[in-house]
Amino acid sequence: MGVVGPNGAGKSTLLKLIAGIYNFERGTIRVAGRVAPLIELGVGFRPDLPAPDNILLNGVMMGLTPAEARRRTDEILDFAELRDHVSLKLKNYSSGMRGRLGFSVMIHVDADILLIDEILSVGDKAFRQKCGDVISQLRRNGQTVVLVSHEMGSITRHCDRAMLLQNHRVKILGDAEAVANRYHELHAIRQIEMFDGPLDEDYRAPATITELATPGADRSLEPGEPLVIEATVEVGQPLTDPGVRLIVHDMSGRPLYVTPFEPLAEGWPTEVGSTYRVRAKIQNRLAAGAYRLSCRVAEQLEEADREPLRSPAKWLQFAVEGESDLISVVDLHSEVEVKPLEAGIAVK
Amino acid sequence: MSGLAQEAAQLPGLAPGAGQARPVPELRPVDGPSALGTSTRRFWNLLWLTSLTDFRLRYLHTSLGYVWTLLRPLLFFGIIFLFIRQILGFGDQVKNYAPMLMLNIILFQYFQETTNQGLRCLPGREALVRKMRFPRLVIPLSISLTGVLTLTANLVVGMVLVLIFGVEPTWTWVLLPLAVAWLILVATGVEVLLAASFVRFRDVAQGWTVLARILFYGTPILYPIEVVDGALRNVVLANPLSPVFLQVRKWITDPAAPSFVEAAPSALLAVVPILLTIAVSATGLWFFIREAPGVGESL
Repeated sequence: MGVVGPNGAGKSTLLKLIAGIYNFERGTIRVAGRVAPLIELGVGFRPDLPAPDNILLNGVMMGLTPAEARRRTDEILDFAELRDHVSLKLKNYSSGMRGRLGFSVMIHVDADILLIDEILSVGDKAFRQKCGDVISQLRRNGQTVVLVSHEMGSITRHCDRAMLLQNHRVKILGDAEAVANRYHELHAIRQIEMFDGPLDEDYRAPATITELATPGADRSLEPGEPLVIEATVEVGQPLTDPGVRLIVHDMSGRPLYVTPFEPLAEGWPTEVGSTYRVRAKIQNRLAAGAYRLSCRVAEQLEEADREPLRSPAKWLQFAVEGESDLISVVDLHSEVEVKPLEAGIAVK
Repeated sequence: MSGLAQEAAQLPGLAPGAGQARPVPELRPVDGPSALGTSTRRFWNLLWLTSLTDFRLRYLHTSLGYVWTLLRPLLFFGIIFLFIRQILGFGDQVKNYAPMLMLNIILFQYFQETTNQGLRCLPGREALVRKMRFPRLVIPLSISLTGVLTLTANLVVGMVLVLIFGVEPTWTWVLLPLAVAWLILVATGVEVLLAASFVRFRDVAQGWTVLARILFYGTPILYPIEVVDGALRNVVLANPLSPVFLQVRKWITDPAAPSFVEAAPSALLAVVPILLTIAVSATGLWFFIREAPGVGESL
């Protein structure tokens, strides 16, 4: 279960309420089974003590008996890859090492429900990968993970369902990808507000991508199979020289490929309410894996006397599945020629 | 599957297929945070573990370690002893004055440290209170229990010194734990009350500095009760800490000294410190239990 929303929406508070850390005045919260909260990595650790003492203390706080905590110390140390640093005091650990220890304790306390707040965004890449693998494993085991994150990549990868919180209320609750999309839209609107001031209740986006889909609704491609996209755009405000742009991202949101702007108008009307059909075909030179595609409309202003209007982006997730020879993320189609030369080697 | 994922799969709790055996637990309402929690066993486990850890931490990291905890009351005792004997002069008239003063200072030091540390214990552990779920009464109680561990060690050495001072052992020495238990009750009651009050009213810290000083002089620690007369004597006798020090003197260093009942002009006045002790401890506990659920938000 993913929980997303802007800062101050109430995500961490929700976790603390479920964990029984904060008090509530009205309503009821019901949980099935033991809850292990990981609101912050390393809470309750004593910096002057080495790992085994901290495992004992933290384990008991999370609900183990002292005997259970002692029995699991070795396993916890092994998983955290800290066996070589057993006698080191925690204050001499790096933040990544402390994080690994905290995470390792949490997954070893037999909790039915794990509440994880933002921790997947800390630590090094290997640790994040490890957390991700464990979460997938927990899911397969039927344990519940409630994940608060600002990274929509984590949400769509790890969650079946998600909720979007805004101003302390559940804005939407449902399919993780739909929630992630709505979050991106809201994020875009907030960016607009940063430039143009607060928007009215009846605010209309400059344009809305009402639909973004792959024909046949199959989101998995063979390696090399082109990505075909269909989108519907509705103009929401009078736009000067609007264009549409598609971006392929990796799962952490980094753009891998950006299409050139394709003008919407060129003689067609761009009045408010007019709609356009966008059809795109993108060569698939991607390795097997999961990717995201975003689509947005923006003005192409020649003279920048004002900020160009931009529509919120709409997102779609797709996967490339199957065997491929590619050992990198993308295939840039290079041509390398090697020829013998008298005094050396030339590469053209 | 990545190497790390394989590793994850090797964990007993995480092995694939463990899911099938996992019974679906019953849906139960979440109890919010509280002073006592829901499991007595977990409460004691946490309390004992935290106290022992704190005890070890406090004495592990100084080069003289435990020696300091004993040296401090003994040095304090030495200074006071010299001054009182020279200036006030009543040291000579009291039987075994030196060992009495030493034990008194060891005992009062526990009271002072427990209440002073307890006062700010909740803001001091803010991260824990706001990010972990555990019975909140454990925090002040562990401070008191850590103090008790130190006190026990100090008293063992203190009693050896009492023998070296040449005090004749009597059977009443075995009653010392009773007096100590009373002291623990008063100290912990006051501490818990202070801890909960401080979150709501920060002025408590200033008030307590003054009150603790008054308590020190209003308790027969430096002086024997006989030197106090009239109304002031009644005030000293009503003090919940006084019976502890009167009984320790009678049981350990001077069997002829008055007990707290004998020192009181009437039986009624002898009951006052008992009632006050019960009242303070009960109020402290009640107030803490009442305040505990909201402490996370008010810090």
